[in-house]
Amino acid sequence: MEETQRHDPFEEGAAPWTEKATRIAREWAAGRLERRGVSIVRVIEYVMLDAINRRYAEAQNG
Amino acid sequence: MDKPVLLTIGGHTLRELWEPLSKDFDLAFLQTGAAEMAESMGLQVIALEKLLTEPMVSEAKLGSLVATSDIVGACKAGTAQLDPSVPSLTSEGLLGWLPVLFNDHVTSALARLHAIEALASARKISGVLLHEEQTTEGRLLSEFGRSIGVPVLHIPHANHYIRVSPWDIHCQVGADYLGVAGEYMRDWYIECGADPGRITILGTPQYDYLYDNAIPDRAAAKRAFHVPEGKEVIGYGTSWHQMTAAWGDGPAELGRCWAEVLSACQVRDAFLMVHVHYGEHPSRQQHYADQMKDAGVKGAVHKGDGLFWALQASDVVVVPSASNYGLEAAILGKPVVELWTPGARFPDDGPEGTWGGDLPALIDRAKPLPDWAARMNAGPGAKDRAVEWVRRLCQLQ
Repeated sequence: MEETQRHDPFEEGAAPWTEKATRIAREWAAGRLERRGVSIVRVIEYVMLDAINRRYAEAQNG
Repeated sequence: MDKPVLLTIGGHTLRELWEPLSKDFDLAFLQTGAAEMAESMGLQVIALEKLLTEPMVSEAKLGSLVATSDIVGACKAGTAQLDPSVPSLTSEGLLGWLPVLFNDHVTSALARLHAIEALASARKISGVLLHEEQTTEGRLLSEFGRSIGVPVLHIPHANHYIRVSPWDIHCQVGADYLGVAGEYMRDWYIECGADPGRITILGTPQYDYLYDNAIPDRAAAKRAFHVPEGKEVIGYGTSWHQMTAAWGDGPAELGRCWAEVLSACQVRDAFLMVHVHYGEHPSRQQHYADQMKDAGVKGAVHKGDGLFWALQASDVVVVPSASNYGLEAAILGKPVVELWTPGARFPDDGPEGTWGGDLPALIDRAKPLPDWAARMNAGPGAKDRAVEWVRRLCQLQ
């Protein structure tokens, strides 16, 4: 494969799904679960982001 | 009198700090395996999961089910259409995996939160010490520390070699203080928006031993691996595939790098010294050995502790992508070559890189990179600096 044909996020910035996944994760996490002053929302945001990113990566890589 | 408690995950990169920190703190580990390892070192520690009770687990399951039911409802109603172009991210596709995965993670997070809260109700918590903030565990401890107003300290386990982006979760700094490896990591976090006044350059505790004159010299390491006299040794640190890290062709990128280094060894008639990444499946050790045999490449395959033996035996080290193995090699004064993969990349003053075609020529050109290694890692003494940093910040409360 020629170098110019490669998708290279280092050269292009973040992977194309990363921005989308982050936005989705934040929207889904927002307001999901607050518990006695400890915000679990950022934990949920991470779980969602990681899961969605994996699915995007799998889709891209077949 | 009880010592104050320091909450931590248990990542092995901070293992060097456990014993000295135990003099002033009771370490409470989120990872039970780490707590058991600390106990095997003769330390008295707290395994947070052992504080769990049946009512805590039940409440965690209920809390997670309530949150998960929102996701199930949205999927069934067809309102969870995250991305029509990816089948598994449509409502129908999501229903097959997202609710279950979400429920597992959030149940675990809530149960652990109960255990942490139970400890906090009985003992004085002085701070949180993280080696990684962007995991379920890291975020849980970070958020908990912030919620009770104790300092959250983060000593990142490795440099990030991806360009700073607001969409990179590693840029989402929640910790109050960062104890970084060197100038590069400091500047990376400042570019992310971290407060420079809360960043201290400590170095990397797990790399301290690389500056120790007690490790074997090159000749001894070559003898240990039965390297024939006068034979060039090319070191190679393998990597493991992570779906969120390896872009491009995914696992095939790492296979391509491996094929390139095999080819270079054939061209140069070199001895190949392979160090297998600890995250790889044990069967991979034999896989590499078989492939070397098939390619007619002589060498050795090493896995486990004591990677310095493999590094010291190498005349030059090749790494797939921006591997920490390359930095460890550079600290030891080894010339390093990076085989590029889409994604992470060493900075411009680091090792020269290639997609692979001219690897034998790059090996000829590779030179030691002491200035780059010094910029990446602040040198020996990191353990002592880190312990003093934790003590100072946690006793401010």
